[in-house]
Amino acid sequence: MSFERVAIDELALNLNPLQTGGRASAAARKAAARFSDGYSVCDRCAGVLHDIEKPDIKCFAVELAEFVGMDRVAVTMGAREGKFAIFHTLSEPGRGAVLDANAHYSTYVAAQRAGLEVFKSTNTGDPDFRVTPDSFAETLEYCKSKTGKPAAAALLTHVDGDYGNLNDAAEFSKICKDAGVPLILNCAYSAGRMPVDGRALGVDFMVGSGHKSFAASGPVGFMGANGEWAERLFRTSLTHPNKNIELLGCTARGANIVSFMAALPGVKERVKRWDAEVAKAVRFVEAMESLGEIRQMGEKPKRHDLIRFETPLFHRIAENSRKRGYFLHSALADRGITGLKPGQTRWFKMSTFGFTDEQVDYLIEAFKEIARM
Amino acid sequence: MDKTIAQRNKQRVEDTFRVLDLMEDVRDIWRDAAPLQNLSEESRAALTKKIEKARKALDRIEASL
Repeated sequence: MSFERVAIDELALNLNPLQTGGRASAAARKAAARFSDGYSVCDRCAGVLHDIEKPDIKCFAVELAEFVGMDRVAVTMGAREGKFAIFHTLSEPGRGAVLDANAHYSTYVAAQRAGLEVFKSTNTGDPDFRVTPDSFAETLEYCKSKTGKPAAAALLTHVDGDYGNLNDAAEFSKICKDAGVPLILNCAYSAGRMPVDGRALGVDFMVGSGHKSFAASGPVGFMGANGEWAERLFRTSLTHPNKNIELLGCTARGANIVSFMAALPGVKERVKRWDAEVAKAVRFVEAMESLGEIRQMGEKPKRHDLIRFETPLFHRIAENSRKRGYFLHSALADRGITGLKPGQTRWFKMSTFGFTDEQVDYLIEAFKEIARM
Repeated sequence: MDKTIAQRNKQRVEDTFRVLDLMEDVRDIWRDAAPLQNLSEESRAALTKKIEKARKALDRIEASL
């Protein structure tokens, strides 16, 4: 069996937005190498994962909570596991969950698994696809009228994975507070890439992803709660009083959690450079649109590195190419660029996160060349 | 276990991880320079230093056999 990767970051620039923020730092990879054996963090465990002091998971949980501005956090296997745990904590028969229109499929699945009826807000459609506070408020109202009770929970995707739109969470949290509905902020594409402060945003719960945005190996993430919600989310078992119900006792307990821990100092530094990351994305969009027949979709100007393009230019070239729909993927691969789906020419998503200015220049030149094919 | 043997074993393992760590640093040099890998003078010097350190650690492991 071969374990050679298709996209090797040492050889190619990987544009896949799912992967750019989770590219593991050297510190994370070094730590992971020491804990690749199963249950390797459990050498000094007295029964509670988040109380382990060697490696210092206990301090890490406190440090992570401070970093994202939440009263308490716990490490999970990813953002979706955190979403399910929170929905499950808040779920009651006959109740609903209000989700933003750009929510990830795993948000739906998590709510459904927890027994909640899903109510989806609208977005503004082409070209911005923005979720407005008004549409969210209307959906909260609609949910209440249909179920007879306020929604058990509302979830806002801080930055969505389709357009990279950044929602102003503070506005949404005010609406949810007025409606008496706890708000979960899904920070899978935000926390770890950009500064996020849950308390300042007024959110009740937060989830994030280590493998998507914290330069960690994964699968790993976190869930957090503020105020009285922390008690409910981190409630323990009646039969096993030191075991968290929603964590099923323990979550990540090997290379994944230590890579997350080792990556955090670097992540704290990189979020300070967020403005430069956004500037890179804006510069790239301008360069791409200057080629003609290419349009950036979603909010403008960009406030995040995830970029979605509609690309009739490349689709037109593909129609006259021997490789047809595979021409773009192939032309990029010839230039050491990867991460786009093979066969995609009408539109694609990508990210400039973490690339040097020279690498962004290289990408721009590569697309210019391909546009002339 | 005899203290000398314990110390030898510890040194071997430390050197093994030292090599692995240095190679992870080298991976970052390739990543930062991808895809052309045209190294700046600074990166070239850093790479050379890492290789030298790794070679010393490998030599120590070999000498301990």
